[in-house]
Amino acid sequence: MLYLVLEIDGECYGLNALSVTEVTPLVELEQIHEGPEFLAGLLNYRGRPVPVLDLRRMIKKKPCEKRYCTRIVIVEYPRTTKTLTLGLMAQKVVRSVRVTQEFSPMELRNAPYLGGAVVERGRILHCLTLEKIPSPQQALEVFG
Amino acid sequence: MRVASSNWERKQKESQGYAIKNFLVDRSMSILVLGTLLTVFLLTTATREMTDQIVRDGALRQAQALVQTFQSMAFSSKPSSLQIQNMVSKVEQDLKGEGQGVRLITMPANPFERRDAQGSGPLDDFQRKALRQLNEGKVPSFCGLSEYKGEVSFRYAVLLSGPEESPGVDLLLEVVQPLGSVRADIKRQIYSGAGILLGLGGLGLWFLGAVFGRLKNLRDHRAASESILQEQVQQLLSFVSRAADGDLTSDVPFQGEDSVGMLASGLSVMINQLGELVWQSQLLSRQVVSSLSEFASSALRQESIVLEQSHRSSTLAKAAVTILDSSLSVESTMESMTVVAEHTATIAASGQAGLETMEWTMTQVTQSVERIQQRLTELNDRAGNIGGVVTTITRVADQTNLLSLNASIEAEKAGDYGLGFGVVAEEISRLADQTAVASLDIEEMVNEMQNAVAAGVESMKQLAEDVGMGVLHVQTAADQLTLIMYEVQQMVPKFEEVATEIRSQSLLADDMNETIQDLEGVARSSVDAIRESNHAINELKCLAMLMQGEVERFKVHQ
Repeated sequence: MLYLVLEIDGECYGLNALSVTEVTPLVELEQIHEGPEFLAGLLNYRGRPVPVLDLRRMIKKKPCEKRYCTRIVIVEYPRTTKTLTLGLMAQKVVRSVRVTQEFSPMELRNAPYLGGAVVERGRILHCLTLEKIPSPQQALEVFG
Repeated sequence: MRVASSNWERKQKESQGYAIKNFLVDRSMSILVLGTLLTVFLLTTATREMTDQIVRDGALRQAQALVQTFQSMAFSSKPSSLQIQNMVSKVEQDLKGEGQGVRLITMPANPFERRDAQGSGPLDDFQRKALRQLNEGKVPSFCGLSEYKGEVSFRYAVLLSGPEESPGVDLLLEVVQPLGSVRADIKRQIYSGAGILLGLGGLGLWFLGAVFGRLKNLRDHRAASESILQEQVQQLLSFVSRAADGDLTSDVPFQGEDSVGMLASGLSVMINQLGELVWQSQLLSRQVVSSLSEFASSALRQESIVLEQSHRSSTLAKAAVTILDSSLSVESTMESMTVVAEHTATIAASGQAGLETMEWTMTQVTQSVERIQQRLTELNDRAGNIGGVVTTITRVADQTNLLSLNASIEAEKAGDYGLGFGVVAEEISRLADQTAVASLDIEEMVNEMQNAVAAGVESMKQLAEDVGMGVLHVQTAADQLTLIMYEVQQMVPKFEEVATEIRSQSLLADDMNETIQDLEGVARSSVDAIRESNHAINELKCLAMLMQGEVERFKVHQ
């Protein structure tokens, strides 16, 4: 399976490539001041407004730095009836990795979105379970 | 002395003659007194006969005076009868005498009528006689002796014009004076005159007696003064002989108003003045002797001074020679110094030239540094450009990476169909990574280069500042060297001046030496002259002392 690698402060998080629609470069986002803190803003993605979540903000409580390697990952958030297009902003989104091993399962009450870990090229790679990310739920509440 | 004694004898003879005369005068005065007394007696006895005659004249005069008074008082204008009465009473008051009186008898103014009145009542013989005489107009007044009230009286009558209120009336004024009263009056006068004469005679007698007494005293006094005079002359002689022996201290034994006294006081004055003169000459001779002593001692001192001066001038001559030598050596030193100064000036000039070259070089260095700085700035700009290029490369690499990522994701989605595409995407991704790494390297290199250039620019800036400071220092040094050179060049002529002056000084020292030698000769000759003058002063001193001895023989009041 191919995983897109997102690095947040040296920690590697893997996102299944099948759930990723596209990786876009960082552009200026439309700010939504009344929204939750992790909502970085709205992205004009091919004529559609897409809410963008700041993963670093969500996990490390710090906003992402604006660099070349800071990118927005467009994903289809699965819902019961239809999917919701979301933007996930993370740093160092520069490479993908093919994982052949099984992820060792782990359940953390405070971090339900971590669906297991695997050692890849000598580094721990956390499996990022998109459905378990709490914030998208809130985002969904916002965007319906 | 002889003359004085002959005078004395003559005076003695004269005084003897005076004694005889005095005796004669005494006797004659006694006779005179007796004669006077006799005359007074005769006068007294003769008075009685003379009285009547005198009375006539006296009474007449008195009456005339009275009438004149009356006339002047009464008839300056026409008086009233009352005024006339007042006048009469006033005249009567003036007369005051015993039995004297004034009578006024009213007469007609017409003389013919008066003639008729001659025979009438109260007129007595005298009055009638007087009227007759007066009527004839021969006399202004009529007087004569006649009996009046039983006493022989002197009577005086005159006609006066009457009072104002009765124009046709004249007045006959008659003054009566009894002859007895007049006589007694005249007698009284005569007796008083005789008394006065007697008093005068007594006074004269007393005076004569006093004169004779005085003369007698004088005679006795002369006899006494003869011996006194002789003694005084002896005293004067001894006084004069003492003065002749040289004692001028003694005083004149007596003084007086007479000729001998005057002579004595004159002698005293003369001797006193002589004494004063001698005293002054003594003082003067002492002063002369002391002055000569001082003079002699000062001449000795002067001799020693001149000798010392001669020694000193020889020392001075030696010193002058020394000065000459030293000034010669100084002159040679100054000449060598001049050479050294000129050499220094030359060196300084060359140093200045070197400094100028150095300054020029420094300026060149400054310019070069500025150029280098410029180049370095250009280099920095170029490095910046390279940075831009590197950024572009990085961006391309980034885009490539993104593309490869999306490609690999799409290939994954394609499943087995996308395997080959996935490989290509992976390759592209690797290429992008390599490009990114290379661009990173370039970026680092460019950064290093930029840092190096910045450091170079900084150090060049520092160098430029240092060079600027160096240029400034070199300029200062050049200025100072110029100043030094100027000073040294200024110094050279001064050295020459000093050398010239020292040359003239050495000439002067030479002259001085000669002058001092001359001076020494002069001093020697002046020593001889002073010795001679000293000898002369000593001789003069001996003479002065002899003179002083002579003068000191006189004793005087100090």
